[in-house]
Amino acid sequence: MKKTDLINSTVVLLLIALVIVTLTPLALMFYTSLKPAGTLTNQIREIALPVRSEIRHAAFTKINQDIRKFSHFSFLAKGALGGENFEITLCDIQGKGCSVDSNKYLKNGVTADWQRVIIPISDFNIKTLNLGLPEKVVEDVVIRVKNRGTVFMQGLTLKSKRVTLANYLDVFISGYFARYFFNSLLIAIIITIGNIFLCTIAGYAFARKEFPFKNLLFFLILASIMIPPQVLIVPIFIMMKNIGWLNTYWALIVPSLVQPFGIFLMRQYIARLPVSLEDQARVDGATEKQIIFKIIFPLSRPALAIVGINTFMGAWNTFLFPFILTNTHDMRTLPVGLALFKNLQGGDWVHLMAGSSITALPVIIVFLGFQKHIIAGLTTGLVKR
Amino acid sequence: MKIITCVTSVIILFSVLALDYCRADKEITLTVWELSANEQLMQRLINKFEAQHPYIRVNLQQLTWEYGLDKFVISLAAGNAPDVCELGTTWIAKFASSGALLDITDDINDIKDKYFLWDSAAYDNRTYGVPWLAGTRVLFYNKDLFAKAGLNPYRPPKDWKELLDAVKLINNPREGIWGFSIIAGEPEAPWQEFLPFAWSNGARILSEDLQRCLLDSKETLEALEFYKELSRYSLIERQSQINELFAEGKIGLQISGSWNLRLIPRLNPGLNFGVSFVPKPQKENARNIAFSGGELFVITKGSNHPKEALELIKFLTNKENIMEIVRVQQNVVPAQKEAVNEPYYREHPDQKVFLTQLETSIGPPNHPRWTEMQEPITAMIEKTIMEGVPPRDAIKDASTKIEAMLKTKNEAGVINNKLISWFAIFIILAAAVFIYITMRGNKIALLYLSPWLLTFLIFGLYPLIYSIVISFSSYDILTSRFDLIGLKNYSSVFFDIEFQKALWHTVVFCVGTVPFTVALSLFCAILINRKIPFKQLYQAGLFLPVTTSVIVIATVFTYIYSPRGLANITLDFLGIIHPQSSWLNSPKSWFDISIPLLSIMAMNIWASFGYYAILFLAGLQTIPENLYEVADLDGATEWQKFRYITFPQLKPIILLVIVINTIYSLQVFPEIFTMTMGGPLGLTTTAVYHIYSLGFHKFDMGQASSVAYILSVIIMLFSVLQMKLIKTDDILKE
Repeated sequence: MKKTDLINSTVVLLLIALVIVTLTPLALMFYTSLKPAGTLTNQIREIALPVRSEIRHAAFTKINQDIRKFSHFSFLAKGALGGENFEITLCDIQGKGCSVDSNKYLKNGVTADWQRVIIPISDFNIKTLNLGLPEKVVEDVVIRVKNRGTVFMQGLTLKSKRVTLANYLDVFISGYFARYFFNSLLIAIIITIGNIFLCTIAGYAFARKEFPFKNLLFFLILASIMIPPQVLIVPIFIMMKNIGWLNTYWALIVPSLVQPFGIFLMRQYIARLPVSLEDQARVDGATEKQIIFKIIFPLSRPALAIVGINTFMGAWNTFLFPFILTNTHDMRTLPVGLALFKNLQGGDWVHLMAGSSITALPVIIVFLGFQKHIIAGLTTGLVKR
Repeated sequence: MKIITCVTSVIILFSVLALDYCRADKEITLTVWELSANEQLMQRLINKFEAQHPYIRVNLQQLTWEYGLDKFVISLAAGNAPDVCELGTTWIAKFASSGALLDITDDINDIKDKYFLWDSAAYDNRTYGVPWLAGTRVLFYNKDLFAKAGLNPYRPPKDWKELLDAVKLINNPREGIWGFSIIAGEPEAPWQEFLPFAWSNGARILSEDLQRCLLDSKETLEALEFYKELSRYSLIERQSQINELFAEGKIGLQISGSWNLRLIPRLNPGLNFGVSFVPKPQKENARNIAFSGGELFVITKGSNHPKEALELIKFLTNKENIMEIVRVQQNVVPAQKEAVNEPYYREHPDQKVFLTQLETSIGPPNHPRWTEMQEPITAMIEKTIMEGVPPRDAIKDASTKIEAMLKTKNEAGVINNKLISWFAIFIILAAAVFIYITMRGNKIALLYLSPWLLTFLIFGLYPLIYSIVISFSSYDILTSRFDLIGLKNYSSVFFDIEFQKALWHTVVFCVGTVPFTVALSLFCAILINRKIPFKQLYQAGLFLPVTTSVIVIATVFTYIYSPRGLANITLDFLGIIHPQSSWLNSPKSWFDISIPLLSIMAMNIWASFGYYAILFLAGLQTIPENLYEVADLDGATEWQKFRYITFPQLKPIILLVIVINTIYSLQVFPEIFTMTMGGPLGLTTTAVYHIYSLGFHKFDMGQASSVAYILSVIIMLFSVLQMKLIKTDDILKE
């Protein structure tokens, strides 16, 4: 017995190692999507802002950063006499600003000794900045001293947030990912339902009915997987344009409503169901429609689960045809949107990873939820006894 | 009362309809596609335009650089192009010569003197586009690195000698600092960076009349040799990685465009850098000639409202709106001559350098096939600096290829493509009728099969026939006309070196992934099948990569393979020395098997083995337990149990997995498309990518179709061969 235990322990260790290796890229994707900026190695923890140390009336420093990625200002301040107050303003490129007063943090103003001041960014009303653009890019930080006082400042730094959901927000709103998500969901659900229904009846026909050229037609189903779809793009594109389906849901849904893989699977599964049930039902006077709906469908549930999940995943993840057949934001799907998301600013990994996460999450959730069905279905359906 | 209400409502209805009709009659919609400007900003400008023109509605679409050209080509092919589109100057000649663009020579007299770049907007002495933004490249240099190397940070290099000296001084591999940087692994940037050196030295690519290739000259050779010398002290990488590393202060000098003015401070606010003119050779009369390109707005011939489209273009390109774009984005150069006087440029001397450099910049030759010609030139550059090919030979190579392109004339085909449609439709209808007649007796079977049959006939057989006909013809995707040329496409495929290389890469890909995927997944399935807890967890963990989209995986792995991505960090951690570039851009190869290809193969294995593991697992669970128990009683070892029980029982599934995996791997495409675009140096081009490139980059759909069918035959042969080799019961015979 000990030998088996030893083997089993090594097996477990191996499996854990494998799973860790397998999941690392995905974990990396989620981790990076939550970072405000930078990459795995190039962490921007804080930015030091050069500013005059003695501020008579006002001083400013250029920063040119998206302020949503930062959590707070931190600096040392003291006053010439004590009791001075100042105001910090964030200005965008058009000069619009939002300010915060120092007396919110220092009740009696600065003292004559150095004091650390921390001003959270959340206290600024940054919505007023950059009304035309989604990013809140601040060009200058202006410090104005009230009542003609003088303030000294040292070590002005802007600390970045550890994690932020800003990337997801950016990508959803200005990146149109919300719309892409909706499109992908709609298309995937309709295609899945269509396949579940239409593949089953076709599979039933192949499994139970006799008709001329049956083997030829079944062979065609298998052969159709082997032709590279790239060569069919132009004719299909021209066809879609001629019937006015370009850039519509029709073009993305109809050609995929019944797919060869589903027919193949259902045929294999139905062929193994005992014929006796159907024969009995026929003897009892059941119509074809009733046989299909009341016997075949319920019995095929495991296989239906596989067809459903496979079809959903395929429809969600498919890239080439939606890329070619859509032209505008409102029609694109997530993979297409993600591929098109890369812009001139190469290296914007955080946004790319946010977009990738949005594209990957739903399918992962669907899979985790239906995992049992897949295994059960594969066990009873696909494999010869 | 009733009558009055009736009549009143009719009158109201009528007047509403009439008003609507009048308004609808006047209201027109224009579609605009653009690439360069921020979308919200453009929308603001468009709203302004719409406010000034109440009867015009404008529909704005933003494209990306990587795929914008492809999308435009596709839309032209379908006759679905926008009214107004932004095009790069290098694309004008091709589209103008195909008749896709509207000739606006006579309508631009009011703005002719105010803009730059009219040369690049012309083809055959007619003007087809209105210049909007100008692009040029200047020298960026890191002032701190200059100071550290003992150079004067306020005296950037003026000529080639000073440049080479500076680069040598700054280059410090031990500290991970490069003197210079050169872009490679991308289609356009390499020649945009190199050609200015050639041009400044007096070299030219084509003659003025575009008839002869002048590339093979002493001037080009000198420039290329100088470039090769520079490359010894350079980081050779893709543009995005160079941007990052320059911003981090790891590169001394680079030649780049105005976008970096905004990007560098964003990535690293503390970087002390400057811009200057491109250095010129120390010859007499040499000038610093930079690359000039730019963005133009064109009107497609098929537009229904050319007059309004032109008004919109003139509005978007006028000085006020252009300066608005410049102000907000701070990384574009206007194509306006008067812009240099704007007070804005007094405050931004860096940007003024670009504007001034524009005056001595030239663009590539305005030949319709320029987009194809840039390939041999890029290859020439990459071969010289990455493969050590002697510059003389590389230049000869490129020159020969370009001369060949100049010789072949692209004659427009004769037959209209509608003929193919009717032919294909005829066959489909015939097939449908035939099927109906033969299956008339089995009404139910017919009914149940009809959805699939319809889908197959319309979306399967029709495009199939269409593309088979195309494969026997030369089909120009832009003009939709074709000529039947028999088997020429098929025979020329066998002499096509690019295809042979692509096929080799594909076979390598298949042979390199399938065995490992199958072995790994079988191994995992056997492990999970043992009596251990939490099986579902392992299954889920291994299967997750399968659930994610190829695009997601491609994006994540591009990140992992980047110069400071996870892959290189792991190597650093293990103390293994490696080149500093991205794994996807390394040109090292053995027998044409390169690191980028291997990287994509590794990614492919990662992404798919979980799927097959689940299939194997299912199979394993059907093997009766008692077989193993008997074996245990007989004292069999683990290996014996596997060899004599597990493996034979699993044979059908193993066969299935091998066949499916082979078919998919021979068709690998989206990964290549998003990660490497077939590069660097064509090292990751696979068969299907070659098909795409033939059709959409070389505009030769006929050739593309024939390659596709040859590939299909190969795939079928592979599958049949595999089924014969692994002799088991046929899965089909149930």
